[in-house]
Amino acid sequence: MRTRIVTFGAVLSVVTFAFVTSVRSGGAAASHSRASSSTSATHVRMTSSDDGRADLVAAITSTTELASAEIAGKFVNMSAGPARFDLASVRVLRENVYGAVRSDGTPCFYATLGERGGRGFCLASFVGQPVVTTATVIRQYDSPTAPFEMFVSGLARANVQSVTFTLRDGRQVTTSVVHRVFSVRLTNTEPGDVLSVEVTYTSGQSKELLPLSNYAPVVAPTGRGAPADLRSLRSHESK
Amino acid sequence: MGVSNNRTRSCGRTLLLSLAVAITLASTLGAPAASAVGWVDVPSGYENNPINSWTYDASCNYGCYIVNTANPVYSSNIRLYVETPPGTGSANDVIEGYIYPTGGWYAYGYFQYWEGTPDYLGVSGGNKYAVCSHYSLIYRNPLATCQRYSTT
Repeated sequence: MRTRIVTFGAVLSVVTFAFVTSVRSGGAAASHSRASSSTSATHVRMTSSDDGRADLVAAITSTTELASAEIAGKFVNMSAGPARFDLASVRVLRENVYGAVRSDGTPCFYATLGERGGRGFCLASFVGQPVVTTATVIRQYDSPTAPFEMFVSGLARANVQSVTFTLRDGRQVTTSVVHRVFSVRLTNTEPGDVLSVEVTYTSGQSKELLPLSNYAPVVAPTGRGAPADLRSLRSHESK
Repeated sequence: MGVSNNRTRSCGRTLLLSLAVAITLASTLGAPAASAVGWVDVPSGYENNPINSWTYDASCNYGCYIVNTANPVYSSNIRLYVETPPGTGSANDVIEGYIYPTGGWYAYGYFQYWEGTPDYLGVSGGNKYAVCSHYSLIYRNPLATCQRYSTT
């Protein structure tokens, strides 16, 4: 009898521990959810164009390789208000680039930055461009004097085969488009070092993308002299 | 009968003790995580205050409107919720990242005007200022929200 009661006590303890812990976790999740909802309420999407979104959603869902749980977990950080991800449906699109469709229909992506972490972004629209790019600039090691490297990841329309970056030091780095995504690591590179971005279409034709500032950072945050598009924006604001 | 009652009392005490231990363990292990670790807003109040006292020179390039932590803090991630009103967006003019206590960027990402919110920089910043800056007034209405993931 004593043995049974002690055993029952032990089981009850474990259950109680698990219950209290889960309640705490749920509380934290609920708190995060509230914060996210608040954020969402403040930032109602003002862009109505779905240019390219449906195609990218199809590209993600037609891919079969599932991402690891660790990678899938990164997508939690790209939730927006009540819009969440089914973490079991995060797909591998190409080496180092992953995709998932958020519950609001937005295609989102996570590209690893070597051993440094990753970058997450979601597509609102191709805004009429053949590709869209996102750049991350990071020291090659954690020192204020270390050289920078740049990671450029992006999304491409169906007729784009590859993207080529020409750098100030003469390098030409080409990345192929796989499942509509591309990603390239440019060592010893910082804003202003990318001189041109060119796409090669599946037809074999190539085209330089302009203005360059739409595809690669042209001025570092520490630089002087605003790019032309910023100057025009400033002029617009002052009116 | 007396022996049986003693055993029952003893087992009851064991049961209560087990419960107490379980609740204490759950409270001890769970409390810090729930109270501090997670996404928190990078405080506003530093806008229009380019941090030129550092070696970081905003010069209103990407940095007329800045939110940043008042001190270097440990952050494992940073993200930016921002909307670009149609027709007014401009590439490369909104950034989030980390600045060394002595000045100079460690890592930063550009928010692009084709992006849906949020932009997420999943890079551990270590003990640095977490910063989001933007050039334009358009990001103040609605106001962009910069969040860092606190690890402490």
